[in-house]
Amino acid sequence: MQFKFTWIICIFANCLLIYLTQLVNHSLGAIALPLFTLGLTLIFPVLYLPYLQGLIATLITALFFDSTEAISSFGYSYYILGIAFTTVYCVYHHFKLYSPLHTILLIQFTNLSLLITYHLILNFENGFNPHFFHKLFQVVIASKIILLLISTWFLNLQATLFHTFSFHHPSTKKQPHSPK
Amino acid sequence: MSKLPFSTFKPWLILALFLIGWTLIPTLIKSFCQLSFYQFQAPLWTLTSQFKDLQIYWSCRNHSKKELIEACRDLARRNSFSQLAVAENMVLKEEIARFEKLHNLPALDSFDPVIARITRRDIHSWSHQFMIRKGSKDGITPGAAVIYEKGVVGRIKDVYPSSSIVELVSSPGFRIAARFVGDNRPITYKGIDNPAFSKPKGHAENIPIDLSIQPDRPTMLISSRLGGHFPDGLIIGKLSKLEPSISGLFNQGAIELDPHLHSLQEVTVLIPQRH
Repeated sequence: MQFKFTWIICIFANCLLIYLTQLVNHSLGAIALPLFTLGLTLIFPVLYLPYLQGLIATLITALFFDSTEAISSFGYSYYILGIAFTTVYCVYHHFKLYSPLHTILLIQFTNLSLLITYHLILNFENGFNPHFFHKLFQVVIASKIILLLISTWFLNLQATLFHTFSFHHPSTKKQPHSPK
Repeated sequence: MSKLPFSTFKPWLILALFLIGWTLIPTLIKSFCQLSFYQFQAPLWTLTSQFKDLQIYWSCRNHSKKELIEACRDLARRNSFSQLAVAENMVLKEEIARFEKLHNLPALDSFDPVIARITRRDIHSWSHQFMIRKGSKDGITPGAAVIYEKGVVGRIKDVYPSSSIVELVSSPGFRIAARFVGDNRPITYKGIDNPAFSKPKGHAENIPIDLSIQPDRPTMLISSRLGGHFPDGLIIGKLSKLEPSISGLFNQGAIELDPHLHSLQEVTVLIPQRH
């Protein structure tokens, strides 16, 4: 029963990450280089939460993201992040990707997939312009670099929050192949 | 062939239930949900912006008295120029009103200006937006024109009680009717996304083929009264090169916008007056 509300901590940390990314994007607005770090919000629930709790945390994060970002239709991210979370969860437990290197690769790959998906879907409405792939490449490189810098900090922050609020430390919760 | 265990499919079944549930939720509840999430985080951005203002205030306090006296002197000069311009403007307005009465013409659109600070910039490849610190409480309505000292910034997309979202003139979904200086024929302007580190640009379409432009003397693209949201004559950008469109009936060209468009701190919203 102690783990019942762990997903709330996860949502709080995800909202914090989205807010900080938007704050950086606000400053980078002058050079029109937005960062995309949404993939990072999926990884902690995949790694340390049971499936249902992780899914709820991800879907609420998706709604928060949609309400704050310039997404044309509210609810897009609900579908995209829901499918992405389930895919990553199944892949993670099926292939037993438990080493730190796998975690970093998972973060990078998840973020890249989401970044490309969002850019393709949302640009499709207005039609692709000649600079689309140039801009996409710039955003991918910038986001990859920033993820390498912050991913460990962010996962540790969530783990510390769990510890601070008297939950079990996530490292003791790891239950491979336990889709509940 | 061995059967896959049920647990393999269980996550996908749960996900399907959640997605179907969300699809079946009425739009009214979704709108309420969106508004709730937005209102939850909007004060945070207002607070961030006010902290920024406070930071500017304290950095300004560090200026010496000599610098302040010089700034006041420059400001006084600007004020005297502005007062002259205001007086001239009043005379011109009276003149326009007199002609309107004389020829029995409908009155021109007039606007109430509302100055607002920018709290957030979202410059994504699919949309360029600003969040401003004024909303429906200040009389801002969707579709209202947003301008700054050098011309058009964009228009109001969404309005909330104490904040609004501005769609920028460089945003890929942005379209308005415009015209060139000295030519009253309307053309279509639309925003396009550009690579990072480059100047913001737009795209002009349906330009009459008889319009010629010299590369060393770019033509200014200005707003048109068509559409009703923008006053006539506000600068959008400049066009320096023309090329024929695919159909061959019209010309088209890239519009250079102001390079400081994405780093503005303050804008003015023009709220149409109701006659």
